Amino acid sequence: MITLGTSRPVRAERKLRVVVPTPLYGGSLPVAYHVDEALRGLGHETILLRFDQHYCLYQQCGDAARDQEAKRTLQGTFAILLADLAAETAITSGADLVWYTAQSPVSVRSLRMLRNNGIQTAFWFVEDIRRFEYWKALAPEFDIVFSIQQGEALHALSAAGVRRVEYLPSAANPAMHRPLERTAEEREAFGAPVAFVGAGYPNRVRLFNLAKLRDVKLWGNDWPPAWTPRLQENGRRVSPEETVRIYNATDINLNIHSGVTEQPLERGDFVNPRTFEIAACRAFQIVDRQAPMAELFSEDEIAIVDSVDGLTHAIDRYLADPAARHRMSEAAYRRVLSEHTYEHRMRHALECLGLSQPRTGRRAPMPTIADLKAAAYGDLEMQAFFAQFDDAASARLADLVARIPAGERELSRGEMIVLLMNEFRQWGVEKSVIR
Amino acid sequence: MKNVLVIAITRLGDLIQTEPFLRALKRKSPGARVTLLVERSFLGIANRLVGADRVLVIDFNEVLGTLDESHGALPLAQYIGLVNELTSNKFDEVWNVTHNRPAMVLTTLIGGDRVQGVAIDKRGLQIVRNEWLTYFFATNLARPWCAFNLIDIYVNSADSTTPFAERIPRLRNVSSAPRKIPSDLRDAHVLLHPGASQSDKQWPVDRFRNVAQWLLERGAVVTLIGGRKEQKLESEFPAHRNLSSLIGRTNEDELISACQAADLLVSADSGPVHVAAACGTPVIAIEGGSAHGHETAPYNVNSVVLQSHLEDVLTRVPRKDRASASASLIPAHCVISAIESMSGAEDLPEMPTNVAAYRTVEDSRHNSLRLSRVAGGPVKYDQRIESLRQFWHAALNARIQETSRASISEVGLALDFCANRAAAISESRDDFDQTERHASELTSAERRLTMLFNKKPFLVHINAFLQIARSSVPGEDPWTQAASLSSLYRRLAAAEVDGRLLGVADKSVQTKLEIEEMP
Repeated sequence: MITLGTSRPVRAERKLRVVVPTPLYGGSLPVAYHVDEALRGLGHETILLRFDQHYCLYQQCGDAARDQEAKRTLQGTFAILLADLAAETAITSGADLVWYTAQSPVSVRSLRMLRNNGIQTAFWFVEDIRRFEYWKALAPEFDIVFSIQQGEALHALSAAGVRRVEYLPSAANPAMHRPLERTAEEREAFGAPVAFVGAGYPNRVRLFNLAKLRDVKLWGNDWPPAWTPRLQENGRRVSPEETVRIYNATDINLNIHSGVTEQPLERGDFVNPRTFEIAACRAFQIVDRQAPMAELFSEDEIAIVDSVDGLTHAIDRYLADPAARHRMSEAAYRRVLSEHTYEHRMRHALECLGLSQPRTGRRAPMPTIADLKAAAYGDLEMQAFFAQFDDAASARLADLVARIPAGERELSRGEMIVLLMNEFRQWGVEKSVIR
Repeated sequence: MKNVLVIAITRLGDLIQTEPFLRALKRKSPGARVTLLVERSFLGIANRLVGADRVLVIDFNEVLGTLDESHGALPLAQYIGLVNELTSNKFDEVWNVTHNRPAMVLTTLIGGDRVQGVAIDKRGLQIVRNEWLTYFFATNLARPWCAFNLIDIYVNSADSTTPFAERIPRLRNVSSAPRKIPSDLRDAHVLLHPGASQSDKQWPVDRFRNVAQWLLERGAVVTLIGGRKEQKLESEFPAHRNLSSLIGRTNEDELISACQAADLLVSADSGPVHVAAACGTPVIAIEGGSAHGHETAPYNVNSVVLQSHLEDVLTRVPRKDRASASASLIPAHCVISAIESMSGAEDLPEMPTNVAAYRTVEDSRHNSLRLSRVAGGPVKYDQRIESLRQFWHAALNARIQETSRASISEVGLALDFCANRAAAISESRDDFDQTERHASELTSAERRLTMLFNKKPFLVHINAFLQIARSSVPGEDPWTQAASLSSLYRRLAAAEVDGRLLGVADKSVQTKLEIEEMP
């Protein structure tokens, strides 16, 4: 019996084939790798397209250009080529899903190609949507968009015409973000009583100035000259593996969310990946309060501060209390492993996509347009709709719907009946009633 | 005789909440015949709804099952048959109160341009016809700021003059007159519904057990109710001669009988809450997660709503799928206190932070159900809700009068400016340049309006309302559409005229100049 509004319990997941195109560079690049690993960890087959390997060529496109416009054209064309490559790979490999991470090369055309071929597309926006504009044209083309932000960000995505929006917070990858032995050598190379890993965003610089953090060790780029004495290795960007070693070797990891204004502490609407990563290292952290924090971690697991004074007091308090640090970092570590890994996120995402159900037998043979014409015998409007197709062509619902323009002209009754079937189908899949 | 179809392919609770609306349609068009389209699983309850003259059934086993990928051939002939069968009834009006895409397309296929509620237009784009239903859609994006019970929204969409008594759901052969809990609980028969359709609405079962034990110690007779999927919850309760379970053992008629025989129901937001309200049975409704008391409270005047509020309800727009904090924030002693207060023993004590207790009362001024706070909760939140109720009543029922411009707030001024620009567009039909200039001014002013609304979480849904209303505005050409838009903006401006929503702007003249100069 079908009951509205309820999902079937999740059973053993079927094996999916997922194409994962990575970004060319940038902060979201590691996330694509974590996603790939998590999907494989869940038993699915992935095709990882390592576009970061082509970053040199992308840069070359920029270097070779005579002016900014030529640079945009060349680099844009290159990105579109990679987007098409991802779509073709998915189509030829018979993929179930293409998982895009923020900044992965993608185009409207490639998304429509995938849709027309019945392949689902998901986009994980692991950045602050307020700082970017590029997603606005693309987002409505995905089957689903996941956002690490809540509230207004989700509304903004919905308002931009996105078909389905879901909240999916950041996470940690326990294979990479892990506790390490704190040897004397590690401590010497990477350790400190108080350290911060990250770029010198204006809010962080102002906060550290106001808090008069004299003894903090800084790892990262773009810090103003006044902070040079505390800057490690001339402010080079540290690798993800080095970051893990720093977290492990540091007594108190400061974790201050980035901001583009000089307001030192701003209560944002998302929790950064660093929060999960430090916790997964069983390391201790002090983090600035963000709106969704309470549902992800408790204050028994992570020290959360709201003010400059709160930060300095927390540093003094926890430097003097190693037992409390140990207790909290242990609790945070357990929380991450039980709730906040990329595998947890991917499992949830696949449920949202209706891809967590086992395969039910073999697919029946695909009907042709001629079959549909016969089924609609005597219905002139339906016959008129099918006249645009070849009789021998396979009659996939997605192919029929692709010929129905949305919002461009008045639709015929025949076209609306096809839309009705499609809407019922999508709804049934969404509710996990059918596949 | 007017032939009306109401599409309500929805669940038990929503279906019962639709009943007064069916009667309101008949009040509006005396002699009309109202047909209700429901899913087969709910045929039993649909047949008990007083307002439904006839019930049609759609079977999801057939409609969805044939679309499964394993099925092969597309069920085109069945779908053509379904549409032909429904259109052959030649409905004069088709109302859709089902909020999913398939129902929207089906509505348009059956009703063409005679549709009300959510549908698609001729080009396949989503529209909402009817301002109260537009309001409902808008508040879905900010559910804690929905200030009206769903029944009132539906009824107002058909006939806002419907008296309060006519808004209480009615089931055939059942009296909906409100009853009281006996003052001595030894005479009481209490129903507990420990399940919920969604986990975020679920009140922890151990607390239901505590409430059951408390009732049993006082000699009350306790019966558990629920659906088949909830049967495993029975084992969480102690064996006791005064405790029995009907979980998974009742059809719709038996559920109605159980509610009629009971003195009280304790439940999270669920279908039985609305069945009980229709039987006049007092209810303690525990609202959490995606459920929100102002919207889903039992519609009768003898119930208590315990609402867990989001910690930051006044400062942030909540997630689309979340109206309130988890129901688990409400401790068992709050429910026990509510029972004591309903049996007349004592007043409700203080509630924990972010939990509020409300009584359901009649709002005679607006012919509607109101939640009257008796303990706990953020007071400012309830004040905001009250101002929103007044604003929307004025705006959507069009019972407004222009007052002194001196008291217009910043939002009021911006709305007024939009009304003037839209009117200017509608009057510039023969001058394309003028139309273009006014349209550009309107766009700038709307942008500013959006900014003003987005500053306050409790106003965000007004912006959503305007967006939906804009994309649904009737008329074949932009000038006719602009006239409708102008009328809408003017009504909103007039509703805001006494500055209830944002407070009176002390720099109103300066603000007005800024708005006028902006384009």
